[in-house]
Amino acid sequence: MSSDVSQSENTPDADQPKPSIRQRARRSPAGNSVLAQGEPMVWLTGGALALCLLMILGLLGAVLFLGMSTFQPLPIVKVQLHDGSTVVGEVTRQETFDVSADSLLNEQPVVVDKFVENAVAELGGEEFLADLPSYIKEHSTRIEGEIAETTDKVALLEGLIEQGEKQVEDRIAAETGGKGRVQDRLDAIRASAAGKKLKGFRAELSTIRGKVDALKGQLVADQEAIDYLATEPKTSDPSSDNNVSPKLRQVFDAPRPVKVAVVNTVLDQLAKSRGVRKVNGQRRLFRIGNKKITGKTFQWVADFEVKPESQEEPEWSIIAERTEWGRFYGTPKQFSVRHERVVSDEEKELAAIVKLFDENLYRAELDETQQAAIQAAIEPLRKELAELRKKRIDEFFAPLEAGEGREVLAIPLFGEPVAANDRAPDADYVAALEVWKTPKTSWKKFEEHHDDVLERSARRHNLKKHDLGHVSHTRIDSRKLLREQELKIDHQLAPIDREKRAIEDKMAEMVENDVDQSSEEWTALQQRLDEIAEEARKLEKQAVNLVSLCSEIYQYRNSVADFDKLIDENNALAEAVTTRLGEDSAATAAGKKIIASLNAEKENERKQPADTLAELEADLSRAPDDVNAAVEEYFKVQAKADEDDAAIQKDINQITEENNRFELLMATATGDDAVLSLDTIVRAYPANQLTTGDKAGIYASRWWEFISADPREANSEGGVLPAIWGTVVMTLIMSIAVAPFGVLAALYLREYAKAGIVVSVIRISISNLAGVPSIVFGVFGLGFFCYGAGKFIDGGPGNAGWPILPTGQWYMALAGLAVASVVAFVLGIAGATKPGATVTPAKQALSVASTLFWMVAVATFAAIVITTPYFRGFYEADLPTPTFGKGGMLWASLTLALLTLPVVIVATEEALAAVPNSMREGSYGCGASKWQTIRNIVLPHALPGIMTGMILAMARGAGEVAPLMLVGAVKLAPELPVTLTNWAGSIGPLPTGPLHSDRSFMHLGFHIYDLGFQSQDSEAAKPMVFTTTLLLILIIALLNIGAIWLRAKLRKRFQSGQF
Amino acid sequence: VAEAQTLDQGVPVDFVTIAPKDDGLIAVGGDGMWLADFDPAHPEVTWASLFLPVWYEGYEEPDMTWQSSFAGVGPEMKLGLWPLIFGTLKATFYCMLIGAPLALLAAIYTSEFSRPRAKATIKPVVEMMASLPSVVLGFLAALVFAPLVEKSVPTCLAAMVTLPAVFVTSAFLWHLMPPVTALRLERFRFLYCLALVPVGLYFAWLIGPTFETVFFAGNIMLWLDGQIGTGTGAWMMLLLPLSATVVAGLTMTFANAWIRRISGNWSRQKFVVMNLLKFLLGSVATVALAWTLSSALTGIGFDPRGTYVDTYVQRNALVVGFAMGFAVIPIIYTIAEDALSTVPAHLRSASLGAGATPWQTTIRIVMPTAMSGLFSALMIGLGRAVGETMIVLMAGGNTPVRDWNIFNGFRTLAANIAVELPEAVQGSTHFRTLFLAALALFVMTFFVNTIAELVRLRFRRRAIEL
Repeated sequence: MSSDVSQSENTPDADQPKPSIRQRARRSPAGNSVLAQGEPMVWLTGGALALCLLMILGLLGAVLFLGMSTFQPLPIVKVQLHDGSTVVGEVTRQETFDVSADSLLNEQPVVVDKFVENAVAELGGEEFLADLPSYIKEHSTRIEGEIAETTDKVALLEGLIEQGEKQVEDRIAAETGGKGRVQDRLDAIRASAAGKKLKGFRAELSTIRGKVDALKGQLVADQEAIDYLATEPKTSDPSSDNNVSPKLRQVFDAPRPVKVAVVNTVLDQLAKSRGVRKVNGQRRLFRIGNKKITGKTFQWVADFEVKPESQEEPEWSIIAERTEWGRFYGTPKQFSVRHERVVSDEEKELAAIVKLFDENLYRAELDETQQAAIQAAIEPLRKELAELRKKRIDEFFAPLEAGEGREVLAIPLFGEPVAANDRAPDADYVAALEVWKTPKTSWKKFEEHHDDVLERSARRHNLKKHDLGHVSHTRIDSRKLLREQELKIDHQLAPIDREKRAIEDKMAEMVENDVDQSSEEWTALQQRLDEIAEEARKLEKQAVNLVSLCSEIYQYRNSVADFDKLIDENNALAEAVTTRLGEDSAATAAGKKIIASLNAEKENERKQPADTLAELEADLSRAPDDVNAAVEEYFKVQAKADEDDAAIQKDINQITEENNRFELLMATATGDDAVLSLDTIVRAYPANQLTTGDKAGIYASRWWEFISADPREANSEGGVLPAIWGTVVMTLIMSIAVAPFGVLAALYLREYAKAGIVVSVIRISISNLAGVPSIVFGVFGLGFFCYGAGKFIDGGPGNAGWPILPTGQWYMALAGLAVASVVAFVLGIAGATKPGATVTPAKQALSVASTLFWMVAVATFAAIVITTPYFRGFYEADLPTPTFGKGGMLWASLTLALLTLPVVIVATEEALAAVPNSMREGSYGCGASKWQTIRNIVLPHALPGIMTGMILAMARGAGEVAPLMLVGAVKLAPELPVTLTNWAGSIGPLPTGPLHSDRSFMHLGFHIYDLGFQSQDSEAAKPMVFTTTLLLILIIALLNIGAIWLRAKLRKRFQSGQF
Repeated sequence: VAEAQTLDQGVPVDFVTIAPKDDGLIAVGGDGMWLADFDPAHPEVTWASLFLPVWYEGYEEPDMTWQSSFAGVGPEMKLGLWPLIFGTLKATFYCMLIGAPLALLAAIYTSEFSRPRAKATIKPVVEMMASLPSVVLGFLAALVFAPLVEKSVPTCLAAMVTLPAVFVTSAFLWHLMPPVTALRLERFRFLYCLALVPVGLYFAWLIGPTFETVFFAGNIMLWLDGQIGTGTGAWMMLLLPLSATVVAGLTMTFANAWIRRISGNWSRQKFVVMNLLKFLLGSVATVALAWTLSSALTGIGFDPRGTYVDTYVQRNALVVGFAMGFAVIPIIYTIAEDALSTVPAHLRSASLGAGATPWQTTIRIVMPTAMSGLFSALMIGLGRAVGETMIVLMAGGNTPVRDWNIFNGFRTLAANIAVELPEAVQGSTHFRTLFLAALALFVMTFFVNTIAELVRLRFRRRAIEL
């Protein structure tokens, strides 16, 4: 029966010829029909539906609103507080809160005073102040009432406690009869119900007493306040401002207990006059940023804390979003560009020579006159150097004259920078600093340079992440080669070791059984043991710890080479000295002597690493000859990697240096100045000068960053690109895995299987699978995929903790498998029935037996695979670091594939059922076989339905988080599961490289959980949570809408029935 | 302890100790030392320690506790599964309490009273709710909904009264209209229902503070904490549905029969007004009954505080109940609606043809026929609630305590696995206990689902036979 038909008949009057409304109304009898209509119940059901729908819409609306509004740029508000501090920031939230006396009294005294002043003004000014003592009396009366209320309860509780104590004691006495202490305790526990109650009473009593004490404290304070206010206020106080009346001033100057009483009374009266239960206040949450300076990023500001009319939106307040330490709020004070002076080779050489003589002359072992002579000899060099330097410095500063709104500073090698024009003639200046000092000019300059800096930063980021990453991968690969060589010997040792243990066990058994130790068997065993030991010794001699040995050799080679380099440099300096000072001058001789002494020192230092190196190399030569190739390769790769690293590092340093030339000095609300380096600023804007267009631009750029960038600041800023990729890739692998299984299972169930117990069981299992909690799938994935299959892939059955069969038994199992398969095959052929022939019991028995043998064969096959002694895993060289033996993309996808399998099966079955039988019959009628019919008729028609099922499965899979927490989703995955780098080293939006299915990954859903509940600064992370949620919901909604659309299309195509 | 006998070779043992890692036994005697491997496997867990009270170190009495400290130092691990199972049951209970009636009533309306066109749009919308990721629900519940509820507990409680009251009152007012107009306007009934939801919420907001003053001594947080007031308010809240049911039942059995008898020749107008009066009287009677019972219970010294209501915690069962209700509503709704829709049309037609109203047809014909389908819908919803992880993990507070307090948190088996398994050491006792917890969860859902599926299959067979 079609559901469409039933739908149209739900409403009784849909298909029947309609009597006119007037007729029907007249037909209904007056009273009874009203009751029979059950109108209230109908309305209740309608209300329930309406509530459900509104809840959905409300939820979607909330997500949409929260997600869309968080990236909007807000203005910067500046307020001054009564306690003298200034707060500058974005107002993120505003709320009404209850003002309690306790929290108010914790504020600064000024704030309390201001609050009292405002309240007094609201309550009637001086009149109220005059009546204050009486109001305090009123408060006291109320407190007294409260205390009186408790006395009854206290008495009751005391009675109960007394009674309870007596009961417990009686019971203990009755049951122990005064026996030992252990018995006492046991019995006390036996009476625990009474004991527990007693404990509860005591706790309650103590809370009440505590409360009464606090109230009594208030009473005392009240009395004190009344006494204090009764004294005459001081008429004049020169230090105070004149706006405050003497009476109020008296309150301000009151000691703390009095203030407590006054605040309590004022709050009471305020509530009374406003007609509310509790006094409300407004407060705003300011995002104040500047975490490095203030130590917090958010601050609540209550309205009564703010000085009246101090609120403003400063024109030049800037919001800077940084790569670290969160947002920065401040006013630009100064922008500076540094120009480094390039030192020429000639200058460098001269300086080196002069330095050599200045610092190391003692090494030449000369007497004083000789020293003086040498000093005189190098004096011309000094002069030459000074002149050269001055010339170069003048040349350098010439184009950098100070202009309008711009200053130029000269930065000396040592000491404070001076204005370029005031520079000393003989000092060495290493750089010049261009400085702009007004907010406007510095902001302009900032905008001019920022884009270039960011572009360079992006390049550096790529260099760091991809190029350096690539180099380190080559290093790891070459190390793995060595490790494989190491393992070779281990593999040769393993069977020997196993045999040795077997013989030892046998010998131990023989000892137990008192076998004569001179028997032939014993001797043979002993001999074999010796042989094995010899073999093992030979192998062990060759077993070298290749990885660590080679890396040590490499390090020592490097340090020896470093010394060589230093010596070479010294020799070059010696040559320079010779050319500068003449071939045979005394100074040259002295210089050479100095350098020789320096070199001797270095040679001495070089000796120790060189010796160690020789030792290590001797060690290496013990290893078998066939490892040489790997060792050579290792050294080659390491050298190449070092070279590449250095080149990349040089590029990186160059960019960093270039970027560090630009600095922005900002003044903050707290009065501290902070220097911001331009490449730490992601985005900065003067928040109070934005036009609507600017705002839209910032909004769009934030969204773009969100979907195209990596996260930063512990995921609370930046983007979610890795999470998007993780979600997408995982969902795709999942659908590739689930599609064949789901469709084949559904095909079997719908087209081939005959109804029976087996099929019912399968169906119940499928719907059970759909109902299994997702976390259970996660646990299964962790136990089976990660720790089972994954560890097996990594290092064979031994690594997975599975038993390894001895070789002999394993071959026997293999033979068993062959026999079982052959038997099953033969039985199957013998038991087959021709189509149309009747099934005899004998044949049936044969086919059942065949099935059983197939099962045995499959089980044996599985056992053979998981216990094989010949498989040692694909990633043995990486152990103990797991490759697949931990959570990762592949296992997460497979786990979710299991989870979504029932969705696909059910949807596919429905789609298959929706294909009208007439089409099948037509196909059969034309002579097509069953498979031909399914292939050419049924599947094409069911395809949209199957696709619907797949899409629904993808939607379910994309939104599932709980299992992923166990099988591979992580809060931060530095490397994406797909390579996005192209050959030129830049990142593109599309995958270019291989899939890394073993890697952990980020996931949008997990990101939401992690950000909202695990992050340190949850307030700062909130915007990201909202937007991530919106993104996830959008993806899932798109998938769902696609599925609904497909389903609607399918329904239109086949209007025939299904249950 | 293996090999212990081999020591008996005439050497007196001076002392015996357990190796520092608890994995060996060291005996020192004569001039030698002797070492035996010692692998107690998992001594801290037995069936009894998992499910029965255990007297832990430093405790005053045996208790069932879940407290898994990871390292081997500090207090011992307390691996009692019962608090977690209790948490699971609590979450399921409150979730079904909120979700099941809403979903069933909504399914009945969709299947029996809404127009086919409306149904064609409503159903996919509710079904779409099923694919909302639970992490989103949990996050909204914990970060948006929970703080909101915390600020307006009385309003939320009031809404539970005002919302149904608004719908029922409107139904009685509806009758006041002339039947012709009523029939004409009936097609827009669902729109009125939609409009009434905000009205109900507005009323709740309006009377929320009064509610607090009357029932909860002016400050519900302190009241819940047991500091002020008496237990009458909470009894009222708990007993109101009960007394409403009692009053409605009495009205149906006694009052309605009596009214039918005396109203033989009344005009419709008069009857309808009397009906409205009856409803108002009934409402008053409900409140009065609830008040009397509550006062009586308080009078003899029962205070519900400390059991079903107690100190308020921000992330609590009420919030989780709503959020998880969200998760189970679409499931129950879809299956229940399918079950109601598949009741053969000729049964309905026959009933309507015999003069029964749509409501009578629904309650007497359709629902009994579809009962097993409705039951399996509830069971499948229950299965989902038992295993739901992310919502309880985020909004449930995650404290493994055992109390029924609707305003307190809890920790379920599923949430516990999600929190602790990633950090558990592979192969340790803790790790294995968590796997056992997963098994327990699986078994629970397996039973529920299998029963549901068997009932559903039976229902399908019967529906086809009809």
